[in-house]
Amino acid sequence: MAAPHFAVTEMFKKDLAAVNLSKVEHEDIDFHSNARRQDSTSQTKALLDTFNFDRRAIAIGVDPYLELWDSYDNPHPEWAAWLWSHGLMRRMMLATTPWATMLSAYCDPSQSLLDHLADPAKTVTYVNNLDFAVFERFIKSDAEIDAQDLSYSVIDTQDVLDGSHSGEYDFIECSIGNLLSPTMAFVDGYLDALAPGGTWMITNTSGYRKIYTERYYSLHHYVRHQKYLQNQAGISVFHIPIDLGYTIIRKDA
Amino acid sequence: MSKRESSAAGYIYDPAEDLAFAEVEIATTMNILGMTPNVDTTTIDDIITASRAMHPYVAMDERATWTNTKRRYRPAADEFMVVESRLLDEHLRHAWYWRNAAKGFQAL
Repeated sequence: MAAPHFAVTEMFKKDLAAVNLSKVEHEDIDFHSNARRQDSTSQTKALLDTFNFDRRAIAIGVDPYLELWDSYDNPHPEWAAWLWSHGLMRRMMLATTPWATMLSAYCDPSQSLLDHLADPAKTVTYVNNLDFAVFERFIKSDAEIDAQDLSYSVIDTQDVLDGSHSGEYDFIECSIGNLLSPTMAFVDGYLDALAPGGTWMITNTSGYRKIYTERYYSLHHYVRHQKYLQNQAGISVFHIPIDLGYTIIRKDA
Repeated sequence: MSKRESSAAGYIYDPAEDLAFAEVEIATTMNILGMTPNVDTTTIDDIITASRAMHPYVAMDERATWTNTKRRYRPAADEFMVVESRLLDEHLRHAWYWRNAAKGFQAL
């Protein structure tokens, strides 16, 4: 079969620079198209396909999140480089932010995060959701990963909402998708779980770059959560308009 | 439910808790839409149809005429409806997806 053709976009070229000009641990095995990731995503997609999700337009709309595992399993040739900036930003936050207790609402087979699971000075807690189920079943089960002494815990999403872990975590990471609701209950919940002086990183706050490309950014529905955050006392909010968009929240000590 | 620690014994993901959470979110959405929140007997078609009824707006590609085709925009009231409905529908579709996934994991 002929090699696929694709346009070399500005984003692709930019992310190649991110790959080639960075020096980080585990670069070779964290690159987003490696065999380990391909194995775990293929296994995940195969399992999820057996669940017979309703794929009609009325059930999934045009939501990339609901087709995520199909995208992971059959990546565009640009995929690896395109995701590198995202991975690098996340690793930068994990590496440069002083934290001991972390709450993560999504799981990713990043070796840099797995290192933290093996570090007795760090405590990593996940949220009990689909991403976590996949992590345990298809990422942690990788022989090389499972051979490490990984330690983590899990809390239920309801625990985040009801304040059971108020002020417990000095680093929180989640996607804007974890905050979606007609109300601001999830924003309040995660903010409450953040310890004074702690840092919270929300990814994809541009809504797959839509906020940067809509006629008026303020018309995108993800803006409402961020405007709400801006109005909370005792925090600083930094919206970083790189790639899918990152919002970094720092709670006053 | 309290925090669960990892162990070599097996998975600590709890599909029953995940399912309960998703169903509460779906039921809450149904309540907002004025529906009887019986998740087991509804369909996503029913809920999205109710949401569309609550948030009436004309889709961009359904507008027959435009005064300025280079600067197409909705009336402000329609934009408000779009944001409201997207917030509701996107979370609902996620919760519906998570519900099916949790039921799938539960059956394994």
